[in-house]
Amino acid sequence: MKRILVACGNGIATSTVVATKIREKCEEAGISVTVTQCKLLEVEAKADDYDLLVTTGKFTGGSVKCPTVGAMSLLTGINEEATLNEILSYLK
Amino acid sequence: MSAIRFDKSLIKYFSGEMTNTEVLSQMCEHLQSMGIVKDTYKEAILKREKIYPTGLDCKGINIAIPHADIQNVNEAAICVGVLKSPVLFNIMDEPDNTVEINLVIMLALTEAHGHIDILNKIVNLIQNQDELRAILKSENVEDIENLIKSRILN
Repeated sequence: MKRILVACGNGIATSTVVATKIREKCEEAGISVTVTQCKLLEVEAKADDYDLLVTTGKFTGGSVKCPTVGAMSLLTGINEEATLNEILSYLK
Repeated sequence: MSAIRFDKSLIKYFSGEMTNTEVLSQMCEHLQSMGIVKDTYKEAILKREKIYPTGLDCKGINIAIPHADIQNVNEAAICVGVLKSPVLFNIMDEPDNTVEINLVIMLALTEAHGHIDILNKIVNLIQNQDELRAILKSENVEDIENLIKSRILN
């Protein structure tokens, strides 16, 4: 089971949309994941427990060990599929 | 799923040269005057916008989606600001850069990880440039109300 942390400014709105899209995409691909939401401010303290960090908004909170994907495209729709595939590539 | 309040009383028009702080302040004050948000909401929105801006560069009609923590909100609602002249907002993933925003969709949310259905529908609307163009071209507030309701409250 891969663990994904999704972070945005408040951890309540855009991360909800992004988390939903990631869950749907992973289900389609047959990949079992848990997706957790948080605020960007909380990322540095939490990220070590996760396999992948996905953010909307710029993450400047320090260094994390796991790979990080920016997911603005999941909000704007521009290159959304490419971002979802990039996310999947870290989960295989 | 909890209901979310939206009707034409939650649509505001702005024209002329304005800053994003002015637009956001007036929208927050409107929500506060209706009792939808607490008096802490405006400060939370303005502070958040400075640290984590909410402008989305959709390469056309561009949208900002300001929102604040749930403890600042009494009742879930959406307030829409129609900007007759675009207003510069900083971009969510490039906070040092700005984008001309045409429509502000302010979210007053009461569930931290809820409102999934409505948030997904709002993002679908944000991704539909034709619908956004129709909203901006609408001559009257009822048309905008109906367009937005049909897309996100159906």
